Amino acid sequence: MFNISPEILKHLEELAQLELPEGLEEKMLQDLNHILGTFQIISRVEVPPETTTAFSSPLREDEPKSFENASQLLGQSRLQDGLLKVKPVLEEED
Amino acid sequence: MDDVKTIFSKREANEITFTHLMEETLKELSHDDELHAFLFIRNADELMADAKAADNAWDEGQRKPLLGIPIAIKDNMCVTGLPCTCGSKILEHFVAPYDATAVKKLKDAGAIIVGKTNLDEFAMGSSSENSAFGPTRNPLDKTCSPGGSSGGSAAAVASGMSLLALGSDTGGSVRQPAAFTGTFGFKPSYGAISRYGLVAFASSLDQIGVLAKHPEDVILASSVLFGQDPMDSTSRDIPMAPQPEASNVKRVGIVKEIDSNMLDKDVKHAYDSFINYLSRTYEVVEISIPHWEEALAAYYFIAPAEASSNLSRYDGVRYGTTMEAENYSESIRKTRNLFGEEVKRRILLGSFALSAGYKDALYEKANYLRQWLVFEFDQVFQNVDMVLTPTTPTPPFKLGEIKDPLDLYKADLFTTPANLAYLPAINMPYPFQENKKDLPIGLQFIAPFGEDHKLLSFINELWQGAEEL
Repeated sequence: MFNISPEILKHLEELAQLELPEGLEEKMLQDLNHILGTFQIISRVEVPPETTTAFSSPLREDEPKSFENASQLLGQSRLQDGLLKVKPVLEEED
Repeated sequence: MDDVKTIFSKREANEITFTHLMEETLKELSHDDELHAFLFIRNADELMADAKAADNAWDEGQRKPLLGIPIAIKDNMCVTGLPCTCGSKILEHFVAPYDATAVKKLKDAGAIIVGKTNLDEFAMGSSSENSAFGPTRNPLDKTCSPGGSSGGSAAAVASGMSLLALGSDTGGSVRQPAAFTGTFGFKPSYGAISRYGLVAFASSLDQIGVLAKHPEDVILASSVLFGQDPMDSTSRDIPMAPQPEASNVKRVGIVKEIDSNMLDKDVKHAYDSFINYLSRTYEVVEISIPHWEEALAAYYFIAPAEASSNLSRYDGVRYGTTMEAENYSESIRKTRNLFGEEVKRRILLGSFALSAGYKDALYEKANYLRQWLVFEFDQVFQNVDMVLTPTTPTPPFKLGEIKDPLDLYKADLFTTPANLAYLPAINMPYPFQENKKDLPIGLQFIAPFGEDHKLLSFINELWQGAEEL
């Protein structure tokens, strides 16, 4: 019922920002489809009854707080003038 | 190795010191190259200095609950100044800048952290073979796996390299390695122990748990660790005391849906004989959890789905290793290729379960199944006090023996329902092994939500009763 084609696998790699090394793609495809085939039983599950057991957690207020120890968290070598140094995000058009 | 209470009695009588205890621990730790239970062991001089400080504190009259007790921490929890690799190349050089709440509580209770233990990469696995830094060996048979993902913590406790260890349990990662090493492995009710500082795998399932050789040590450590924490909004106050009390357990349920024919013969023998033993004292009744068999399927869609989201933070910018490349997006991809095969498999499976067109059929249905399990356990616990199952379908398997990932997933067959239903559960070693050299078999008890103290008190009663036979 569920099947991951080589094209879907490529799309998933893109979504997950992964790039499988050569040789692993075929094995991964086989493994994933084997797992999906075994667990497809899940598609037959019916809507459950309402339960009274409450496990929802009240979310705390989202309050930004500064972390005083940024250099320790990120590593001194990756900071420049107190800012995080990364590769260019936007590329210039040729 | 003695339990904490006995150690404190001997310390009171000046029969031992914490320095002596640490010397003994260091002797065991020096053999870790055979087991590879640890990814990082603290410097011996530092450990001896901590032990000496604990002795001084004791002599000055301090009586903290874990004073001078050597404890190991799974390497997916933050300890200030120590590496936190999660068994992954992607965090190989990451050093934690703060203490996890659980770690801070242990330190405040006087415990001495000896090091960080090996694990399957990002706690994904059941054998400890998925660690990027090599597998851990089972101290009871070095050709066997100690289980996983907290295999390093279990091996550390079983071999006497620490009295207690912290693990994390998302689908059985504390209980299954406990079963494979003949130790106690406790996963508390969801929210009982703060996860602040535990590296997230699947947040609706992850729990920090305790491994020890003695049930009373599990109770003592839990009393230190339990409690609501403002840094983890999913945490809550669940009653826990440092001492066991009368559990008043009367009825134990046996899950009808467990097909005993699919159990290994040694597991089946241990399970059947323990049911016989229990029925001499307790009323043992058959109960039904109709969706029991589908729980594993629900777990293997929910956990990878959450993992695919949680692990998106490893982009080489915010944490750990960065792989240099021409541009930003290429650098992210190169960095994320440091993930091992199993982590990639679960991220891809999770991405699929959440993708357009499949989310309703997979992820939503898995959550329906989860709600069924919550409902069915609720019904069951109106009639019984505890539920008994085997912890694993097999005894410890050989390292390298299981090649198919799906076969490894099946090691979690009996442990995932407790995570999905948010319930406390514990592995207790089968106490009546005819030949003490045989590999251990684990028995799992599951209790109603929030009845963690009752569960641990019951296990303590059972263990003491079995030891007296």
